[in-house]
Amino acid sequence: MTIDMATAESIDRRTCLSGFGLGSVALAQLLADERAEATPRLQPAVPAAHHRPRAKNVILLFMVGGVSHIESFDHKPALSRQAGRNATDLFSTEELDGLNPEKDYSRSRVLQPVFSFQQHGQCGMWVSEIFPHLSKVVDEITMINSMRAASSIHSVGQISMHTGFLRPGFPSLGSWVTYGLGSENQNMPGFVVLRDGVSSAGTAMYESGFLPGTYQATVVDAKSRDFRIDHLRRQGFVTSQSQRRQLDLMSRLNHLHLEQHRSQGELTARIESFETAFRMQAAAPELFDLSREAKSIRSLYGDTPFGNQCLTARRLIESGVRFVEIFNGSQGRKWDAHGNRGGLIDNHRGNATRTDQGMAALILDLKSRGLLDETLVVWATEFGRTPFEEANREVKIGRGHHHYGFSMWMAGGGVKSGFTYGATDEFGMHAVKDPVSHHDLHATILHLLGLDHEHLTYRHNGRDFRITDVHGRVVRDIFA
Amino acid sequence: MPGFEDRTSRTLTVRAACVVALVLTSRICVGDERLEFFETRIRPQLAEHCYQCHSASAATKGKLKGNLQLDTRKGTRRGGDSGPAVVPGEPENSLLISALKHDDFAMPPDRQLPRRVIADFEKWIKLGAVDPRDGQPLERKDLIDWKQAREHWAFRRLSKTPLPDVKEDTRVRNPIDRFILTKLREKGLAPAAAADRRTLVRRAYFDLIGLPPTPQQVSQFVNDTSTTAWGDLIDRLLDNEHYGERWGRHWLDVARFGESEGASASNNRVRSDAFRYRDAVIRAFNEDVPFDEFATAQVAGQGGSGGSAFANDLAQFPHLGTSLEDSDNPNDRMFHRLDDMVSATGSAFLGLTVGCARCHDHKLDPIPAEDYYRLTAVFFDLAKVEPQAGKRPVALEFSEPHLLAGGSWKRPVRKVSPGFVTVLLRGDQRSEDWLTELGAGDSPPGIPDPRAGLARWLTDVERGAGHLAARVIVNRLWQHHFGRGIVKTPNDFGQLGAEPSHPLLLDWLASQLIRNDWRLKPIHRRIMNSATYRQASSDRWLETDADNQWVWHYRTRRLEAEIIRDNILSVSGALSSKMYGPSVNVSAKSTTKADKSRRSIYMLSSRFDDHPTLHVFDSVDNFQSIGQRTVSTTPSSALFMLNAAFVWQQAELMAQRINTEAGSDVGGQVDRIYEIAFARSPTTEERTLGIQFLQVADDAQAKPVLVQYCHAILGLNEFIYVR
Repeated sequence: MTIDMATAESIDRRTCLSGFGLGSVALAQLLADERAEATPRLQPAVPAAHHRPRAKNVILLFMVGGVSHIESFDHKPALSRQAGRNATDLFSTEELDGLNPEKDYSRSRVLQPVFSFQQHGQCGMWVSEIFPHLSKVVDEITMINSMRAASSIHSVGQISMHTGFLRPGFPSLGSWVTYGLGSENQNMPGFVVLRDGVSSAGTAMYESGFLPGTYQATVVDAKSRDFRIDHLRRQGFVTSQSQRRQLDLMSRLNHLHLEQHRSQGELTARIESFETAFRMQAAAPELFDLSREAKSIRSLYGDTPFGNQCLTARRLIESGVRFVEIFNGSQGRKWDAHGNRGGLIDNHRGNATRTDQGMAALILDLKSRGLLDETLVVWATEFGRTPFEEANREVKIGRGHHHYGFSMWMAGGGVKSGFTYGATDEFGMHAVKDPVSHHDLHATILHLLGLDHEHLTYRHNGRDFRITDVHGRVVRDIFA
Repeated sequence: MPGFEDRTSRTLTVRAACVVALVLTSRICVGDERLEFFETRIRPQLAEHCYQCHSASAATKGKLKGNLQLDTRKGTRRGGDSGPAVVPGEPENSLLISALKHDDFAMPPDRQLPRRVIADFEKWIKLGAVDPRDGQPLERKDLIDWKQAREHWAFRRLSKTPLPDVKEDTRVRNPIDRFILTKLREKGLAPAAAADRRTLVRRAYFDLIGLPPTPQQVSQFVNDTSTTAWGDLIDRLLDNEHYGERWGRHWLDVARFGESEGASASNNRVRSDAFRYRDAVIRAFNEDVPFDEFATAQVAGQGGSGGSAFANDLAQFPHLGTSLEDSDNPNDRMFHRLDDMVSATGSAFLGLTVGCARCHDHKLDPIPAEDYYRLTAVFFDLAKVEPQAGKRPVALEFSEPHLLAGGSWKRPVRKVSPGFVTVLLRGDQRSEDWLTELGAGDSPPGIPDPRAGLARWLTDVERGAGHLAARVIVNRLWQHHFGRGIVKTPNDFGQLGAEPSHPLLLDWLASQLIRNDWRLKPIHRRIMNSATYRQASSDRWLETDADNQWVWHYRTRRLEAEIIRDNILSVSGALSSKMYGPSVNVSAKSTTKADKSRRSIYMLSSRFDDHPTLHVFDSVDNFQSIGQRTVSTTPSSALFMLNAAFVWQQAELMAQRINTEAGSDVGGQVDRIYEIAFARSPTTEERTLGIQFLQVADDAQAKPVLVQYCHAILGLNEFIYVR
């Protein structure tokens, strides 16, 4: 089903688009008497799912900087045997030049995996030593070892992994999903990003692009222990009572105004948005207040910034938020393990230690609450890292940016458990078996949510846009 | 049953092809095993699985996909939108193979062919892709029915029909009303009553200068009993220099005006001269520079300008768009810039999405990729980039413009020369008719400047695309006066765009523009002097036409981000009237308070660092040309109005102003606030509610109730919606 804006417009384009659905007249009626008891939730643009959904919600764990597949989930013993050889012995100039246009890899040497790998779980999935917690839950996840990204430039890779396009200005996956499915929580926006900083791509990864601002991510500054949303806190001189008094006045006056302007659904939507905002001031801090969680849960996640982000993500999903993204590592701690920046060993060990417990806990906790079936957890990064070192042997060992093949994983939400899909060649250079592009990834995630990527479209500047542009293959092989 | 027909014709094609093949086989190389391999292993597979979407027969039925015709050797080698399907001897470079393997594409789309078959194809290509199928594939240009394509309403000449005859003269103030009334009658609708003077004066101020009228300005108009009061008001506002700030901003949206590189947050250098373009646009609107001259200055640069002082600054137009990362391949960077220039020019002046033809012939509009690449040739010399990726030297592949397959510089097809949009050329016209004409510009003698040629063609009403350019700009004027264009897709007048609700009116307005020497102010006057513009808002025909396409009333609409902010600053009394100059960066420490209180059009238009207030209200996406902004309602913007320090500061200033202007009587305070914020007196009920709110004793911990009241007023719908 294409969401035909022309049809929508015959009712009232803006009513439909600004969310809070219901016909403008009906809603005006509903709100005319007084503040209505029932608060409409964010309505989906797709009235019914395109097909039977396997998942309802998404938690995206995005690791900024490019996690080395060779040091995480893609076991490449062959590299150890080639270690020290020139990259040019194994790879053609064209292959090397096609990576980072900035870099000259003609004198690079092949680098063996710096961590040891073991098989884990009943499924025998290979995981590197730096993820001891995740190793214990591999029987819950689908590992994809054949990812391909569009670019090995950070900003372009991050943007395309989120929006399907190489340039800024297009809607993020979370925006498309809330556009397609709406959201259940009346007190919170449908798409929430918990971030610990801003990466080189700015906010372009989680913007709504040409989709209405209703589908924009609400960004939570989750750098410190104290999570923050812009303008969520009242000024010191405003109390809940004094604000309620203001809102009551505004509501009365707005409804008097509305009586003369029944034609505008967006007027009622705006009245409602103030009520949502008012409730959000109470709801969001409550959701962010982790002291309400049992001690056992707190220690399961570990009281670390990332653990807290994961726990908060679960709380948000539980409360009916549709799509939560943890955008992690954007401040100083990126996974960008070049030789000149702390080196691969320290960088990856540090980042893994920082995040391992939280993500494993998220899977376990969702499972014990019966939420894992309906929640798709996606662990992703913008690209992997080269099988060889960068041009000059620097002080420490490091790897360059690499988009020909790398790893990511998913859990819950209708994907297989304990399953490994696709593979790179023996050196981890190219995804050769069942390659999965960022378009395929988006198509697959949407499919799990009951949305057909070819039909989730939005008309903009004279063209029907979709997240997969003209590409996208649903990877059915990973469906449970 | 179409499926049945397909099958039949396909079988026939196969049979016919086999006959031809037999003849050829016997003629050239009897016994050639490679030929036999093709006939037995390859051709049947192609016919069975590919021809339905990739053959001349598919093309004639309009079912051709990806412009790929696999039923001739030539078509197979030439390939489709994405490049050659088969490169003899190189299966790894043959898109056909990667498609069969479901790598880049997935073909056939429903299921993969058996591995054995794919292996046959690889073998065939490796052995030289012997292919006896002579014959010419159909050219896309041949497939477009140009005669029919030119019949699309937007491409036709302006119609010259007499004004509709409307009996009811009291409803007719000027010709516009005749067009509107005729349609309303047809639809069984009736226009709304005229709006009252207070409504009209607020509407006119916001429409023309984007600022609220002061109570004094309201009473000046309301008490003006002369018959020319309304016309005089319009004249005053059109002469007001804030008019250029208001309407210049509309143009900046269309021109994808931004003041930074926009490659990424870390590569977003501010272009320190870009503000000069913004200033030139404001001046051009204020001086009512003819639109054809305005367009020429932007497209042709100095080459075709009429010599106005700011033509030089308007010439920045092609360069206003985004860049790619410095670390990107310079060829990518160059074609990104060219694409930006061509797309923005097409959207802004022609209302056509020519950018869609970058990777393939336009799917719906009759714009072949060749048109697109001939347009890139017009701008080619402007898009030069340094031949390096980061600090690493990387060669530029082209010193001359080329047609590319699949939008990729890695797949050049052939050289192209500058040219325009074919469907807009008529009879035996050629782009060269405008391109070879030597302009009076600065180009070296004897060498025609293609951009000057493009500008001449764009504004040539008699022979070129001027009629379309005129339609596009008058539609933009109408849109910003009524909230909806006569064509409701202002940047798309093509097949996917909307048809005009009032085609004759659109053409009449376009003709008026041309007759008035392409000046915009006479069109504003025409529109605003109509009874149609002066209607009140109503809900009478809401069920029939909620979108108000027949203009049966004046539809209440929200102000844009810039005007919301300007409005807040204006009623608080803080707004600075300083015009022009370098943009204000609010996050810079050195920025003064006075500068932070300037009109929003002077705020830095960065592509990554959003202005803290503007971005809350759907500020424009300055990555591409935008004809109509989105209007969204989010809890974030409500939180902003409730809790942002800026809004509370302005509420305090407003309260100070009210104390000064209205004294301490709460009734008087409410009256004054309504005059300032809404250009009217409160109703009895509104007044009572206000007095009740204000008659509570101030709490030492909280802001005075007057501040709280002003703050609530700023958050009301009426404050940001104009009727």
